[in-house]
Amino acid sequence: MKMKKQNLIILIIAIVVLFGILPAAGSNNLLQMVTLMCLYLAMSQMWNLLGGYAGMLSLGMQAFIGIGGYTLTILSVQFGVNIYLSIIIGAVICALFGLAVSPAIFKMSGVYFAIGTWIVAEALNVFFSNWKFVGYAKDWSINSVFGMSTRQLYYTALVVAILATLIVFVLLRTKTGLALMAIRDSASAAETMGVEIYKTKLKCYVIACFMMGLIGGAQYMQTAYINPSTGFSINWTIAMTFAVIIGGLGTMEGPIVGAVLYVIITQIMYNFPGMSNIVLGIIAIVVILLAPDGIMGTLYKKTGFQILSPRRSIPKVGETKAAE
Amino acid sequence: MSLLEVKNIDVHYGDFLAIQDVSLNVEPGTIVSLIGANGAGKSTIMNTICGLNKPTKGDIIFDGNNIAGKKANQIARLGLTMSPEGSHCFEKMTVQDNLLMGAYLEKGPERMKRLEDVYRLFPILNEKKNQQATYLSGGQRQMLAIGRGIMSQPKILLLDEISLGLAPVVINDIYDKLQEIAETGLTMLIVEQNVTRSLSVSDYSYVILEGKVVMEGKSSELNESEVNDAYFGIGDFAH
Repeated sequence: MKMKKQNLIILIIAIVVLFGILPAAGSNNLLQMVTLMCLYLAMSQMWNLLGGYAGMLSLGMQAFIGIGGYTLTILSVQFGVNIYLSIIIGAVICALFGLAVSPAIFKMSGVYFAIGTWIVAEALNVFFSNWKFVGYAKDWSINSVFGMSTRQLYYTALVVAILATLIVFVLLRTKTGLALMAIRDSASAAETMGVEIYKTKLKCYVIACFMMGLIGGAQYMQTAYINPSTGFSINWTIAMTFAVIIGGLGTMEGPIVGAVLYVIITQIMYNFPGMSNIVLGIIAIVVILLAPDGIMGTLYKKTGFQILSPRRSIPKVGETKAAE
Repeated sequence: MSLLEVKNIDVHYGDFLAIQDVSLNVEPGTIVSLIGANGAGKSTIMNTICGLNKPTKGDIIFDGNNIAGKKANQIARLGLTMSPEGSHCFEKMTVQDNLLMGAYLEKGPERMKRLEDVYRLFPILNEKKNQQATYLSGGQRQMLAIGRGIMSQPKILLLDEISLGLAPVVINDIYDKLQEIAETGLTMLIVEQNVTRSLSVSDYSYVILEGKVVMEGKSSELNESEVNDAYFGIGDFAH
């Protein structure tokens, strides 16, 4: 059961209108919560692109959140650069950084790749903690974003979330997307079909790094202070992983559902500090045991329900033959 | 002139010499089979030809190019396609996407046309096209692997372990289809464990034992009981 094209367009318009009028209708609290959802959604979408579709399970995406956040801070606070321009420059730096570390981390695969990416992020944490220019490990107020309205933060996050989802949607429908999924399932078979594995993975990785930088910038625009141990914290990746696993690894709706649930759960648990990780952990274990494909993955398997398909519908060649 | 010529290759896995001084010839428009028991080195030879393994010695000439040591994706671009045994389908992708991957190097409309050809050859794949490959039966997976191979319209198709783990009736089905494919003039190099079947389907056969070619000849002229001795390494072939 795939959604019909008209229905899909109506659904998208409805969602866009809903999100568009939200600032006028909702309270500031609600708006802040939806802003968070958008940011986590974008992160999860990118993590899922790497982990769920390209078979690159990364534990180091926080490296790019941190670089994005620090670039925003350094450029806008120290040099007075426009905030949005700073964020975009941060994303470009992330893409270049991803490109620079790729020769090393692409030598690894599977769990080694995961650990390798984590080490890169930890190394950045140590580097920034010992860097005088950023004030070592101290909190740095991002005073250039002070006084920004909730609404402005919300729209930035919304744009980032839409962009992330759109990139995944479009990329997966290209031949590169097909090749990525093939590499995930069997790298050697994909190579004998003529896929240039290294180049294809690199393309995907650099796109994800760029987007992570963008998300990091948008995230720190709203946090308004930064320090190395939170900027490069593994908690970012834990959040993405959680959202993707409960939502459904390798589905496009999964990260959306997962991110929304993640934000709701952490908000509810806000008054019970330290408890939220326990609750998230229990939920993750229950989902992995009962529905290893996640919420949307299980729904798809049971009912065939899918809103965003990675595949274009293709003319039904065989059926026209049979009718002749 | 041969389409594919393997000249005296050695293949090592670490220090272990898996293939020793193997030479093969495949003439255009013929089916050549490699016969041998488990562990004889048939799949290693196939993987070396298609570029997944690198030979430590010797040359592999395909269509005038020396492809020894080249990358698998470069070799695929020259028109040599390998269908690994059925367990190497793209599990989480749909049947249709699996097939489309076969024509990865082609443009859109041409891929659709070839898809139609494959569905005509294997109607069951058409029925299952929107299912993930992981839900296919063993025989259907093998059809998918073969279908994916033809999608690239190669100059030569390498088929590894066609009948491994399949029921005899399914194997018959698949060999009927192979005959149909062979009639289009496609050159094939196949690996088959079943001696009788291998001799009946192919034009020329090589028997592999412990990484070496121990017997070769026109399939119609080879004596089945001698091939069996060579296969198991008994009689004249004991050491």
